[in-house]
Amino acid sequence: MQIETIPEFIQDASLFEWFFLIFILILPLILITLIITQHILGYFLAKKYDIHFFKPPYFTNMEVAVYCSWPLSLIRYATYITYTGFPSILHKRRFKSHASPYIPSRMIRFVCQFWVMALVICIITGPTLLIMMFALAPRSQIGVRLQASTKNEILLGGLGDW
Amino acid sequence: MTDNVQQKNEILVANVGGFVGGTLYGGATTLAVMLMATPIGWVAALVIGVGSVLTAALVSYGAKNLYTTYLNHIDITKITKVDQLCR
Repeated sequence: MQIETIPEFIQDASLFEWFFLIFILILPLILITLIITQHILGYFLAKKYDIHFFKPPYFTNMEVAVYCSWPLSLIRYATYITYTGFPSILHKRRFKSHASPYIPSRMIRFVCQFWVMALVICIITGPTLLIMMFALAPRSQIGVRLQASTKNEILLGGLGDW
Repeated sequence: MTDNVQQKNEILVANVGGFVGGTLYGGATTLAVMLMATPIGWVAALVIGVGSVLTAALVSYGAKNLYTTYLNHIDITKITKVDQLCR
């Protein structure tokens, strides 16, 4: 099998190009994985938790009506996943004074914790990458021009057409 | 359907950018609704829906413009092998 050579652009890719490629190629894959995992975990956790929690006072009547169907049911799934991973957070807020009706295995708890942390990291890094891309884009262009022109050209007025 | 490599790349970047933007907005609102424990009404549901669509459109437009202006020397369809699927 022939091994493909490293594409040329990777050898001298600027920071802006890296950010753009991560945003377009890697972030969507992570997000798709998170969404699929959310559906699977949420489906099974909802079976355990719905009888105890999916009613007033934990959810309002309005929320019960809205969270029944996709896509807003994903909020309910996310709540259950966070509750499994980090019970103390939701003990303080939504599920007050209710002992957990289901004790998950360490594996499921770890997966839930990993899911929540991955989502938080994606939400932080995604917009940051986007802002960095827009911020670095003009500099990338200037960098290309700097490479193309020599010092003398800049001194002689190469800055003119920037 | 287009044979133009540039257009193929633009379509790919715009779609993927829109997906990422919309999903991130959805994720952020999900976390906000969940952690703040505010019961959502029709207005909040509308904000989630319309906001994610707007964010997706904005990010896809921005990403497409960035690609066209600065990165058109990179053929993303070739890296992702999309050009073999969508000829």
